[in-house]
Amino acid sequence: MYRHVCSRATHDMLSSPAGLPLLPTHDILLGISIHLGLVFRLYGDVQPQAAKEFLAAADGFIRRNIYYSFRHTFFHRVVADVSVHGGDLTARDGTGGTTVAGAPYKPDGKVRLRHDQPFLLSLDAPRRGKYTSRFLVTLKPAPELDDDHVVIGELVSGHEFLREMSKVPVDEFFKPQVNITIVDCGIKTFSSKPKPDPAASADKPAAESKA
Amino acid sequence: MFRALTRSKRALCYAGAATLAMGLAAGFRGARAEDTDPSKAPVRRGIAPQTPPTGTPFLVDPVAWTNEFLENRIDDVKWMFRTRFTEEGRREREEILKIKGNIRPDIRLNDHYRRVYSDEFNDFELLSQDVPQFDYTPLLLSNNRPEIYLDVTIGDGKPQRT
Repeated sequence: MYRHVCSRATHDMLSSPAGLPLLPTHDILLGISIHLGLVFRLYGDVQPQAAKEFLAAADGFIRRNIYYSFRHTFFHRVVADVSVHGGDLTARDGTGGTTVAGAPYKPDGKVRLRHDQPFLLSLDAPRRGKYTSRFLVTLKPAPELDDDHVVIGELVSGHEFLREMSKVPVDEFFKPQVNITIVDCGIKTFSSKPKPDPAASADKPAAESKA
Repeated sequence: MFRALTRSKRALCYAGAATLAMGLAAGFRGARAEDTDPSKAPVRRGIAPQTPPTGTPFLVDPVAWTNEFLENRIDDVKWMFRTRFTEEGRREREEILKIKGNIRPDIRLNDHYRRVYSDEFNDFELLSQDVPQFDYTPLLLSNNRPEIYLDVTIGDGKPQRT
């Protein structure tokens, strides 16, 4: 059981330009931990096709009368402080995955970014250089993933909660002993505010003082 | 002479007369000049024309409406028989109702699929094949770094499958 605490409107309000007060991001109810959202920014300029696939999976799509969405899927593999894997739309246990067209695809990006920082969203489970809906989120810089995995985005908010997710008890196959379920997903209408660049903010007062 | 007819033929005559009377009462009228030449229509002053200028005096064609109504009822009867008296029919009924979205209210379709699967778009031939997919290219053109959210819960209280 989970209590549905957030909707798309709430997400939009949280990231609204008006800067409304933030809602609590955690809710402990009968031992149930609910988070209001992991927000990922997709690099549509670097990997457009993968971004489209992810947008479709977050929005929900239908193929052959079957509805596919990240909603009600699980994070099926958790390696503590290394990576969190999810996005299996079909089997939901890390053996499946699908795309809008139904066939695995080869990302069309001309540049491949490196896994040089934590909290990067990356395509998982390559088969002969082709990928499906499965993804992973890194929790530390992982250069060993650069050959097979494709960075398509980054985590914008929910960093602490992702760290918390990575600490759930797992079995010998890194399968979590408790269900980590995506209870809701979607496309954000308003983008989050970009983080202030410390270098730029450091330059500004200097320029003003010079003037 | 009418008395000389058999009872059944007399009944037929009564039925024909009744039908003719109903047709007349329903607004049957003879051909008028305005039907072929609208300029000859009488000018009505002070009130809006109560009937369409040409064709039937009714807002809908009663004959076509009746035919359509009966066809729909025949389809209903066929659907009823088809979906209630055989196992295949029951399965088909469940599939069609599932397609129409009455089974899983927790699935919120996005705008594209809500339109496709709404009642006004009732094309089962298309639904049985591939449904046209939504194109996210315009979204990427307007915002090349879009954001998605995933609401995650840890430990939903369900028993673990072993």
